Amino acid sequence: MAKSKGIKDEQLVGFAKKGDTRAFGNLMLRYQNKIYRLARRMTDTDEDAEDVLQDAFIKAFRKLSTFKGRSKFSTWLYRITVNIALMKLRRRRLSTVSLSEPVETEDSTIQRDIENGSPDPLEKLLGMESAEVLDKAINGLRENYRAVFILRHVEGLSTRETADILEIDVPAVKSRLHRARTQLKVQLLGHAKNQKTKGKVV
Amino acid sequence: MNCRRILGSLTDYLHGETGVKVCEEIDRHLDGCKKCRIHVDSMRQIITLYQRWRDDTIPKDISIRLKQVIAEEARKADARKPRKASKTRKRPKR
Ligand SMILES: [Zn+2]
Repeated sequence: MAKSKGIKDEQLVGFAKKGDTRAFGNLMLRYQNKIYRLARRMTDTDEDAEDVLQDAFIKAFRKLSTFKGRSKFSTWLYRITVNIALMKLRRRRLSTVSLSEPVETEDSTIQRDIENGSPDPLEKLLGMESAEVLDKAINGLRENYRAVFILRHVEGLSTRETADILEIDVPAVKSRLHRARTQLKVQLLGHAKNQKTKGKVV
Repeated sequence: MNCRRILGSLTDYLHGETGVKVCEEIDRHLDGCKKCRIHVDSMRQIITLYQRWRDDTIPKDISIRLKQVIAEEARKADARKPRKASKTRKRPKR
């Protein structure tokens, strides 16, 4: 593995296309953490995340010959993962009676919230139990918003690469990000207020 | 630079990816506009909160199973290939 360190993705892809399974294994080692994180955060459960992860790499393995290198390998792999995750989420939504509707906040509410401009108690969440709270808030977002937020803000990809992965344009990425952030803010603020009125810290 | 334009460049600004000039313009605006300052601060906090996720790594058992699944794929792909008696052929399964 250490030997593959200096090798570019594209070279490994080239070897893997010729049937070098170890080259594909190296690509997998490079990306398994990122792909797992994306899968885990886009889906709600560990089982779904593992399914998405496995399906993504299986598809990448089978379709590698169709990868023409017009985008980066990582862009291609992320795109496969997002699409599989979206499909899984949609199927799930069709097959289950919706337990709790995702909290869709109206634009007007968001706008009012922003314009109110009182200092936010968000920092109170920092360092608190908030892992669960963060999960809940992001699960309340529409899948498309989840994907864009994770790719751009958590993984730190560029706006351009995020756009390429999601096959949308840069302004669409920006507007989805804006909505994702504001919806998260509304949810987190709601939680912070709840905690305050309940008068407990955790 | 007005409030609306701040929103347009906010994502890049939060990641420190705007050019120096735009960055200075935004800073200047924020100095004078409380509303935007509060908004930008809370957006930065939200991103900071979620960036903890960046440290997550794949659980060992999931990684092992992934490797097995792909190894199986490779075997299947190998079996589909026309047999050109190759010395490096792996032992048959089982
Ligand atoms: Zn302003």
